[in-house]
Amino acid sequence: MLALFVVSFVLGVVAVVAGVGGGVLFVPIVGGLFPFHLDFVRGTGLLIALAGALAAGPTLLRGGMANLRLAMPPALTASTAAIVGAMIGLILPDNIIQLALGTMILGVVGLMAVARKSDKPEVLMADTLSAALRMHGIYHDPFSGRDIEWKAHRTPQGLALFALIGVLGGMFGIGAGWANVPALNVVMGVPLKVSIGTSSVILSIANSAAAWVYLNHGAMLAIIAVPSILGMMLGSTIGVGLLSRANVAVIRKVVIVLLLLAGVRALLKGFGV
Amino acid sequence: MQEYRDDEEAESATGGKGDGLSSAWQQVRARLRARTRLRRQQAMRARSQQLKYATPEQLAYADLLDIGSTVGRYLLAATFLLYVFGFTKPKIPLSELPAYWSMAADRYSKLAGVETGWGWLALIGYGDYMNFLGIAFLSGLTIACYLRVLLFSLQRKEFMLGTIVMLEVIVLSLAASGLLAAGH
Repeated sequence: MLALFVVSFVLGVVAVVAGVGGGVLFVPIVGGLFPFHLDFVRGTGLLIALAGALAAGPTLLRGGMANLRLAMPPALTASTAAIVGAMIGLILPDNIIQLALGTMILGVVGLMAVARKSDKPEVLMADTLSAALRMHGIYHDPFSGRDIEWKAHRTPQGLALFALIGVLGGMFGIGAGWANVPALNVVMGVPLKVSIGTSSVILSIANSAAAWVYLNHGAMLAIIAVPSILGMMLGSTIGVGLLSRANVAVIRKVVIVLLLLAGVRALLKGFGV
Repeated sequence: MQEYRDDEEAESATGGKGDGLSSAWQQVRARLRARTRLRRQQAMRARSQQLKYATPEQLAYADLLDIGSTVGRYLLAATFLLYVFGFTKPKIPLSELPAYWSMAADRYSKLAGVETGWGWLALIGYGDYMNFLGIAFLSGLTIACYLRVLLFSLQRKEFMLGTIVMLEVIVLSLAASGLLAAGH
């Protein structure tokens, strides 16, 4: 129980700084290290990502590092899809889930390693949908000391991606911040810091939907869930404080190595090794 | 400057009142009032700074989220402490849990005698299921936050935002209803 709390705390700090969400680290790492069934690990993974996002949300929203209007449309498609994903995940056999999880985690590693992100992408003109939904804002960059205005484009493509991300998030009980951030940053042209912050808000909404499916299915054990949630919430709160000062590049490299090992472990489990 | 004025006010509260307990009480009250006023002014300054980067509905959402996640955290911690220290009787004793936690959720539910959907609510008197109160509270918090934003969108007649908010509330409520439980 104490080990679970400590692991979750560390993952909470790392997840917020690396902008990947706690669940994507928790499910493969705890699923590989602890003897729990993957149903309970996925249910807890969703709650962990939810709890971390809930803890970080207020600070990010108040400071303009997350934008509610930007989060709401992707959250609607992601949460609807996450319910479908959760239901599929609870129906599929365990070995298929392990194989799919391993494959997906290795895909995440590939995406994190090669994805080109831009601190401040150039958006010449907001598309009709993002303009109608007022998906624009302003945030303060502490490094340059300036206020930076931003707007979004390619909203329909972004929303389609969030539907796919929602299914994966619900199916594997992962937070999907690893996919939210590139979707917002690379596809929709939102600055990286706002993408990371807004990803956290989207996670809190989409994971609420999927978490209910797991809870109502009985895929939760208090002895696994509560120490993990409390550890992750505490870690996330500290992680938010470190966000503007931490060496994000180094932390991302550590996360990539951890995920690589966890992905291989899940694949081996899926093959019965 | 403000601190100086507050200190002056506190000092003046003591003047002409004489010595003794009454005078000390007056001084403490004046200082407390001054500190409260200072804190309120600082909060107002912080709020006006936040409004530069966030809309009022975003701040309202953040405030409710802040309160709710704090309450949820304490609720989780309190019910968990009651459970692990044996103040509440668990449905499955802690010592027997290792035999259950490697089972699929379906099998565990059958052996533990838990119905799917909101069946866990009937077991809320047991320590392990009492923890589900905090989990359900945190999972349902977003619905409350969205309802708060819905008020803003109605007041400002922002029907597009209102529609998105309403749809999200419906999706989350459907998920919470327990009608969508699946299984192996």
